[in-house]
Amino acid sequence: MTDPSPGPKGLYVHLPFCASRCAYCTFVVSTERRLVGAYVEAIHRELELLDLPEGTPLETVYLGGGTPSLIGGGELAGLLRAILERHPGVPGIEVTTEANPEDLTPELLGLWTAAGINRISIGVQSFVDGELTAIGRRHDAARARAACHLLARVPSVTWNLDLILGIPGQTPESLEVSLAGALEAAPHHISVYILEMDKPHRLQELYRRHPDEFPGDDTVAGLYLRVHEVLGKAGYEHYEISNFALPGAEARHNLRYWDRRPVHALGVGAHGNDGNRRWANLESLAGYLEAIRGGERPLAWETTLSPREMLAEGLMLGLRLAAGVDRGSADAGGASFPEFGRMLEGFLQRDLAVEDAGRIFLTPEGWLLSNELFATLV
Amino acid sequence: MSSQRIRNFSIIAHIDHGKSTLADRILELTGAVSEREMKEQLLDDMDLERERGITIKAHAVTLEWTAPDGEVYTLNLIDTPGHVDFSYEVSRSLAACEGAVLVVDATQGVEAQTLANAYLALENDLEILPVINKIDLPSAEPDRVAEQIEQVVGLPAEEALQVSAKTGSGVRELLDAIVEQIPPPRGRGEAPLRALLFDAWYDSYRGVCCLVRVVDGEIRARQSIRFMSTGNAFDVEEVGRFTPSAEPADRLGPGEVGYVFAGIKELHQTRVGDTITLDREPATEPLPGFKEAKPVVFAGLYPVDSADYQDLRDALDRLRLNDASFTFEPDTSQALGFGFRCGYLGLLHMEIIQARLEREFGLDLITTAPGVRYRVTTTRGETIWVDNPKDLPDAGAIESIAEPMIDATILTRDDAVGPILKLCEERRGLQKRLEYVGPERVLIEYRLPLAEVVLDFYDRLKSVSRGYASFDYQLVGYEDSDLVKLDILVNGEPVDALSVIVHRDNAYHRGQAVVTKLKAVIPRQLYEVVIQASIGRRVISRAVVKALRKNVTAKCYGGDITRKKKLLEKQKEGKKRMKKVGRVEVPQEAFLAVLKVEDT
Repeated sequence: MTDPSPGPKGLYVHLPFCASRCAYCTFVVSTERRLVGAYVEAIHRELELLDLPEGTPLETVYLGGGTPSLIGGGELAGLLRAILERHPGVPGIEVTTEANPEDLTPELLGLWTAAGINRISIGVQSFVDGELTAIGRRHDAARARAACHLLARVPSVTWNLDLILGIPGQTPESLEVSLAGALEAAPHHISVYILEMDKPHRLQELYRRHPDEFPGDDTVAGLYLRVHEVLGKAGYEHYEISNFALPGAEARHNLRYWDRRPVHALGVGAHGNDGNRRWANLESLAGYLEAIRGGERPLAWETTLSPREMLAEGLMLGLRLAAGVDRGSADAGGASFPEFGRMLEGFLQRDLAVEDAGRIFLTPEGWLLSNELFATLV
Repeated sequence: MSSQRIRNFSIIAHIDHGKSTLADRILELTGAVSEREMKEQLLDDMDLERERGITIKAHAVTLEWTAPDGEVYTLNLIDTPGHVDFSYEVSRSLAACEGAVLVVDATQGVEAQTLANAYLALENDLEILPVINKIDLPSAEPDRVAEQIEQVVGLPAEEALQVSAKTGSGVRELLDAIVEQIPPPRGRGEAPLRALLFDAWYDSYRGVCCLVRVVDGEIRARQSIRFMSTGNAFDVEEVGRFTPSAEPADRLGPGEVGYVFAGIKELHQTRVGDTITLDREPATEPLPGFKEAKPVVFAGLYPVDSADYQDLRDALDRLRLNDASFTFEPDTSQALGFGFRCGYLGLLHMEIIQARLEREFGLDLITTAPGVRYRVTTTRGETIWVDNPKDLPDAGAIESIAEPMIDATILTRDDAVGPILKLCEERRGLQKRLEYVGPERVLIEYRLPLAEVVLDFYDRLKSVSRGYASFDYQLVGYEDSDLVKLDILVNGEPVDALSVIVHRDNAYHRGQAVVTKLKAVIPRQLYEVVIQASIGRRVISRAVVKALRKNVTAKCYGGDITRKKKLLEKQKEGKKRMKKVGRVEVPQEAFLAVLKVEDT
């Protein structure tokens, strides 16, 4: 049943604790910080339960959340040490952690870099105070700028900042403020997400009652294209639907997901994939802790993809990337999913997709409509 | 049996005025059904019917009642369908009676159906016994209601019996009054057989069960009978009475009511209202009043999933076994694919059939806007009948179009009169009567085109009167009218299923309303969608659904991949329920949208 891919793996570690839940958040998150100690302990034990032979090398480690910066610097360093003792990093391993701007201090950064963290992603989201309030963030624009300055002074660290489009009250003008803030901060990498309304969260509730407080789809599409334009001019390559990087600064861990290379996973609600397998851990913190206490893997489900599903996933994820997919896979997709073939032709005719040197990739306008295309693959 | 001791009667009432409860009490008091059985029936009517193989609520029940004179009388209680759509069937059931019990709710008073039913009974020369029901309720106003019966229906009601079907109070007196006041049937035992077929249904074991009222002569097993309208002949296998269980009898004589099984395989071989006579010595004249029940409301019916077409056909065939009055024929729509054009006796009839198809047969259906049958005179002098807008000839080939008209009766509280008149005027109505029939109670009569009523008139009437208005109608023939075909085009392609025939004066408003509604329900898609309403080549309204610009899942990492696939599956499910017009995905609501277009 298992068909692990050869070579080094990625490892995702989910650290679910947050000081409060953001208004747009749909992740597995807990505000019960008294459980942090027990949870970190449980991760240590799950490490031994991983379906990964000891000694398997890691190419990337990603500490995501939640808010990893809420875990004490010492504990985080200890966890990372334990991981790398069991699964040595390849030379040049990428070790990322997520952080909130309000948590960053020179001391914490010192602990982290000493422990081997060399990439930091901070959830700035916006450089406009009103927008930060609207989405329930705890920091303001000044705090965000301060955190960026701090990061810019750590030469061993590559860093990312997140921005969000579609915030209530956001306008083309206010976007310029955030873009200027981001360019001034000059991170290596910028992720630009669009607020999504298909899962329940506090903002979805507001959206249902007052959709007019949100920028409309056309406005958001305009914002997205403006981001593409401005960041492109500043030298950031738009290498994936939501991601921009200076040359060579792409997120290697995340590229593993889009290239469908193995990523194993630790922690509550964490998802892993290896070869034709996908699996997820239990989403309930209590359930997760109990499984670990009982010495069991905390699996919620595991599934094996059929060749047809692998093909579909390959196209869906490949077309998220600026590099796109090769003509051969697109044709194979069209053979298995005729509607996909037809719609891709339509995308090509309308410059939503481009074919160049044997590869097919979506344009920013095409990315904006990508679900129309990807829906033909399920 | 001497016909002197037979009483044939129906109970007629507005809906919810207590007709069935009164019938139940009568069955109980006459000992036809025990109290225990009655309770079981209340619990689960359908199951009991199946289990015992009888129809407790038989459409005709033969009962015995000992009157104060000490004689035992045979009472035949004949059920009538409770809705205006079936007024022909009602009138045939009434034709089988000599009398009718007119039940009026003491808390509600006279309603439109009370009136319509009373008129039908009068047309059939029945003796009418007004009965005021629900007098046990604190809000009962029997005196006021009696006054209404006199004023609105025109029946003397001073002597009206006051009953409570619920408690049984006054029901004995009613049975005595039935014996005393309703005349016995008159008929000639020696004359050739003439029996009125007033109801029929399909029984899967024994074929068609015919309910008959013998007028002249008698009918027995092993006779060969003939239906006078069709000439079809059958051999009688069994005759009998429902008491309410089916009890075979030697014969049914003049004035008697009962059932006939004659090996009839299909319901549409029989016609309600037909006269049954003997094949060997037929009567010369049929009983009066026979008409063929013709559908008056037409609508397209399409499976949402075209793979269900055969299932839909089978379901329609099955339903027709039990309802000969609805018709269907195969129809094709560019947008909706293969389906059927169905004809119904009225709106309720349409709703019943559609609900049964969805509920009993589990079919997902799209219904097109209901319409009526137009009489078109062409420039070449031919007359053609059109019940499907797509069959309407080009305007240049039409000399004139006539549409079916109705006389509508509305009874309402006086505070709703304004909005009701406005509604009727909007629907091209012609006021014929407007009259106070009691304090706060107004009788309104309008002549209206049936087409204006089939769409959503009844819903609107209920809403503008906050549920107080009652409504009934009668078809009164055809009138010429300035009608045009309104087409709806999506990206230049006419959507045949959305075409309607409307009055020229309303075409603009209606076109605009439909276009607006469609714009709201057609989701943005990869291409711009232009929606137009046109008469002939002239576009009278236009709207654009702008091309979709954004449908993207921005964030997509480990667990998001699984979530994203689920989201895409949901999107795809949604699309599956859409119909393609050219390359435009049109949701089903679009086809429903034209059914409920708010008036502008």
